[in-house]
Amino acid sequence: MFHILFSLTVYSIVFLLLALICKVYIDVKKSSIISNERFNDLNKLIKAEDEKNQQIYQKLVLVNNLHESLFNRLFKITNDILLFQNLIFDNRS
Amino acid sequence: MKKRFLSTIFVIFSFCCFPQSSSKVIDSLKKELIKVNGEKNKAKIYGDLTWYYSQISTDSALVYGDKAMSLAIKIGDSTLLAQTISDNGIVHYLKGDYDFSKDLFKKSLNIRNQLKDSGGIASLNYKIGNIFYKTTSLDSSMVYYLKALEYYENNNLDVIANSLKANIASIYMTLKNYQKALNYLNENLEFFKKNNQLEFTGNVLVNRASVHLFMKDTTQAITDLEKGIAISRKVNAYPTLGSAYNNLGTIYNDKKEYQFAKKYILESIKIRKKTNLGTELESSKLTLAGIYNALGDFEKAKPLLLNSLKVFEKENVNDKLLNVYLQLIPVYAYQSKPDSVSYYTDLYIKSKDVNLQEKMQSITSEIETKYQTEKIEKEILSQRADLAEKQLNLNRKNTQLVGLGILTIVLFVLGYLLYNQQKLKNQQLKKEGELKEALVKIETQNRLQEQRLRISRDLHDNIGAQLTFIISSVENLQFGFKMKNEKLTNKLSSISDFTKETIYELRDTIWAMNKNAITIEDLQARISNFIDKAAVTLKGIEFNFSIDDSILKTLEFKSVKGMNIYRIIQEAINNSIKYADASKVDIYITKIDNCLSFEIKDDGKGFNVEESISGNGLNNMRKRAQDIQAKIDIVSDINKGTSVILKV
Repeated sequence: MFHILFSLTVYSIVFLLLALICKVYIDVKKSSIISNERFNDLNKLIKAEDEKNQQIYQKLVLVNNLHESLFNRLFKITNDILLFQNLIFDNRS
Repeated sequence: MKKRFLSTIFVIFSFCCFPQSSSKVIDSLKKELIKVNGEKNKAKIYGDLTWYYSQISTDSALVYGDKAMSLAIKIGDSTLLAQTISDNGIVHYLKGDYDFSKDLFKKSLNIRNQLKDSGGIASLNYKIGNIFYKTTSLDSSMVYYLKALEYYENNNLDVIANSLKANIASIYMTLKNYQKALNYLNENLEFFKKNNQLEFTGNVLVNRASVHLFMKDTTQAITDLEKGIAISRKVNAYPTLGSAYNNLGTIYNDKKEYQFAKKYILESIKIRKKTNLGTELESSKLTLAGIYNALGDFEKAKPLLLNSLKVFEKENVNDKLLNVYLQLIPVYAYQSKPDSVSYYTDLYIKSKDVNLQEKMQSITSEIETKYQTEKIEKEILSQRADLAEKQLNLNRKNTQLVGLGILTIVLFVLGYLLYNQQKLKNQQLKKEGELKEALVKIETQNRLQEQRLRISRDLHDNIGAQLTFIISSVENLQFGFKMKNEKLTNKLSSISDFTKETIYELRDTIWAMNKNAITIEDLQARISNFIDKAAVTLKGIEFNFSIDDSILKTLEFKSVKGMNIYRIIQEAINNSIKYADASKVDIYITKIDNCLSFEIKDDGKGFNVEESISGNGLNNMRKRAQDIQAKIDIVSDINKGTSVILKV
């Protein structure tokens, strides 16, 4: 009697544990799939942001070039205006 | 009765197995032995000689048997060895050495079991069964007979199967299981009738009559005997006839129908005189003497009895001797010979006592053997039960251990999987965290840069407005104050033009900034716009602008690259306008070897590229081309126009 009960118990536990193993395995697979999807989404976002970053960078390069050029030009304009002013004063005198 | 059975079987078997005289066969075998080559063939002939000699001389049979066995061992032929051992076993059986014979048969059986020789195994089972029958181990005998019978019946070997059935019937008769004995005899009878073997049919009828007699069915016994007699007469089966008449006479004698009994016994004696089989004749004579005694014809009984006495004393047949002594008592009493009466009475009593003692001893030893056997069997059974119980317990323990082992393994696997799952989760969370961090970082960076761009845009708007103010102020000064000084006027013009250029540059940059990417279409629009404005102000120059159809309008460039391409084209066109004195300026965008080619060609005065000192404009173009990893070629010659080719 004891033997039957013992065997029944052990094999029931084994069966339950096997079912649990299957469940864990399925969960791991599911979790992998979900994680991969999330990673893909995040990667897509990062890629999009990266592209945006590239575009902004390009624009900033243009802006920097422009600022450099503007600085030189405005300096020249200012210089020319001052020269013009001097010329006017020279003529008057 | 039982001896009749077995001898009948032997007769049947011999009849089946020995169709010709043994001596003739032996002679021919000896001749063959001289001629034959090879040890295997010699061994086979020795084996045959053993078999045939066993019917004539067991000593000679044993000599040849030993030779055959030695050769078989030397050759190493298992089949031959099994056969020679079996032949030797038969010889020892015929000699009456049953124990040794049994050992030899069992040895041969082992070899045949290994060879899986079913026919040989069946034959040996039959022989071992015969030995057990001889040694009155009827249970063991039955076991072996039944094993052999199964084989012969399955393989339709009816003749041998029927002889086995007769033996089994004999065992059942001995065990007083008359019904089963009858069943087997009936099967035998059916077989012989079907095959029209009248001699054997008669014999079986006689044996069946004996069984009926034991079952106290004298009527049926008489019927069977009469049928047996009728059939045996047809085929002149004298031994069977003799037995049948004798048994019939005995039945009528027991029924006290002495005339009939005398008639049949006399017939039996007449036939048995011809057959002369052992003590059968004297047995019939003894029965006749009994009948004469019963009829009061003592004178006729006496000579018969005295003759039988000699024969039975010589053959030492005790139960018949007892009967003779008993029959002689009334004879001598009739003859008024009290001494003889007394003598035979004492002899009878003594012999009976001895007989009884012997029987008692035999029964006692049989019971003792049975008891011991049963005791041993009980012990064996009990040991087997213990073993079985131990085995069962062991199996149970094994099952439990296996179960626990599996449980442990499963637990380990589960633990490992859970650990793995957690590890994986942690890795995934970590990676997700890193990605999110990177995303946040890049988003933050983008936001900052966008903020900078917004600030720049505001600044540019402001600067644009201020530059416009500077231009309008300068133009006001120019046209409002009527300056006569050329120098001043020129200066103001140069300031105005320079400021306008600054505004154009600002606007171009804002245009590029407002796009995430510059397409061919955008470039086309911008260049066309530029050309149109130039064409309006410079009416003497013809501008042509074409794009190859193979080029996709949606082809994109990054802002800096697109801007640089536009600037180079713009600079080239400006140079053509300012310095070339050209009347025609062509702008082509084509695709050459997977590269885009932007060509600005004029028909102006040209210049010597090698000798000329590159001005800011040309240097700028080269620098811009270098920045965008493009190749720029300036092809020009005096009065041959200039061509600026930019390959991207």
